[in-house]
Amino acid sequence: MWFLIKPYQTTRENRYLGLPIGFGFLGASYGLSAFAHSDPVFSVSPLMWFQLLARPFAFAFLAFTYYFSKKPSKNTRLIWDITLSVMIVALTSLFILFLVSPGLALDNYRLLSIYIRSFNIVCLVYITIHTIRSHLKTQDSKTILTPFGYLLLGIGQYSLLIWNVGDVNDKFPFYGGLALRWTGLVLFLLIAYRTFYGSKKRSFE
Amino acid sequence: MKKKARRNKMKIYGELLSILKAEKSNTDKIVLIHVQSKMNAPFDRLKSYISDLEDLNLIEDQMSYNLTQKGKEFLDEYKKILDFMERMGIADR
Repeated sequence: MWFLIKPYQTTRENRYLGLPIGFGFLGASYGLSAFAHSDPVFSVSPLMWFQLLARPFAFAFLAFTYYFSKKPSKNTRLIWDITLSVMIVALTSLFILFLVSPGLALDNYRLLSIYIRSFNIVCLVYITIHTIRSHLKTQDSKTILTPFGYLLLGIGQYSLLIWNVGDVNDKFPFYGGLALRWTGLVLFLLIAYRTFYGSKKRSFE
Repeated sequence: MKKKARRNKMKIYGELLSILKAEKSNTDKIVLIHVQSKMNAPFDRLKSYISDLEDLNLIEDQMSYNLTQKGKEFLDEYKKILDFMERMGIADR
């Protein structure tokens, strides 16, 4: 996680906070998901809800980070600060609502998960397009892994959407989605590793 | 007209060290007016930033503008972060 905070530490631009927050939520969501799915019988537990609700926030934080990354002006900084505050308030309200009346939230898990995964896919499509454009601008082979990583996460979400819509006992789309997700995350780790540890030749003599 | 976002100190020092290093590799004597035009900062502020670099032990002195070991390490780390931002597609150009 520390390398995701570095852009913010260096520039002190709040818009780069979305990167560690987004990946932090994503990691927490995936961790909860792994724990919730460890039970071989599919059941909707509170953990399932937490992992489902945390993920759209993760992708939204990332999408906003990419959206605001291309417009460094005073106005966009203010809009980003407002967006960040609204997201935090929405997230807190949602979890309080869930904790206050868990019975209310436990209904219609599958229906809501279809909407949430669709939202996640929209966010990931936006991020993928943004990173592809960025790659085309730089014309540098080192920037190709990022859109590919987000694309894999997007296809993973699509696979899980298919699993939600179809038969939950058919585990192929579920495990396919998991495999794509982990491959995507490994790609991001590879990007970080190559940047911070893999370029010895850039060091000063 | 859109107001340009202010740079923070770390970004300023990174940019300035990068410019000083590039200038040093081109010519022995650094002309501050060239540095100023590349930095896009007023001259008095540039002088204050250079003074900060010396205080922080990032450059040897204000005559040679040679980067110290600490300065080289700082610049190396700064470039890695910029590279990471570029790889992730969040670098503003």
